Amino acid sequence: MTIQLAIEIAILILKYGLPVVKDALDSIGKPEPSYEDILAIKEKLALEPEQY
Amino acid sequence: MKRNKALFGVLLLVVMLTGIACASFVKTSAVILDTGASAYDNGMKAVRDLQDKGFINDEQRAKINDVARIYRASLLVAIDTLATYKLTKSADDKNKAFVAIGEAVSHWADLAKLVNSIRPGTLPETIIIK
Repeated sequence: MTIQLAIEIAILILKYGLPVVKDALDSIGKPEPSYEDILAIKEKLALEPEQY
Repeated sequence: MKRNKALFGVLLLVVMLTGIACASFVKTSAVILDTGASAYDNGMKAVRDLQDKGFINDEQRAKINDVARIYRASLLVAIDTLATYKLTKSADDKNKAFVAIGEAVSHWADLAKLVNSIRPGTLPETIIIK
């Protein structure tokens, strides 16, 4: 009974988790940005609108 | 024994999928914000060019600056909230980052609409992911 339940849960996870897994597979080779990488995006916003 | 192994397997799968989902959110959000920041930089350069060529007057430029300032501020907030989520991984911070990114994207649409109303086709109305 427990094994059957475990298998059913696993099937549900695979069914609904597949899009997430696909996204993850697509991004293989691209490491998750670090905290510093995220903050570095601000460099592109260095200028105020009137400075252009 | 077999039951325990099966349950452990399911638990491991849940943990792995949760980890993958978190990683995808940070990665995808960072790409959106990076693209949004490039769009701001390139968009304002395009506005400058249009003004130099006489297609945008001072009054229109002042309006564009006002909307661009709001967009820039919303992007800065979104970057900070995503960076905070990267550190904490809390559901609350993830939600804050999600909302902040949504607001930034909508402010881009406001900026693009304003610039395009003056000079159609200058800016894309949605942030295009590279």
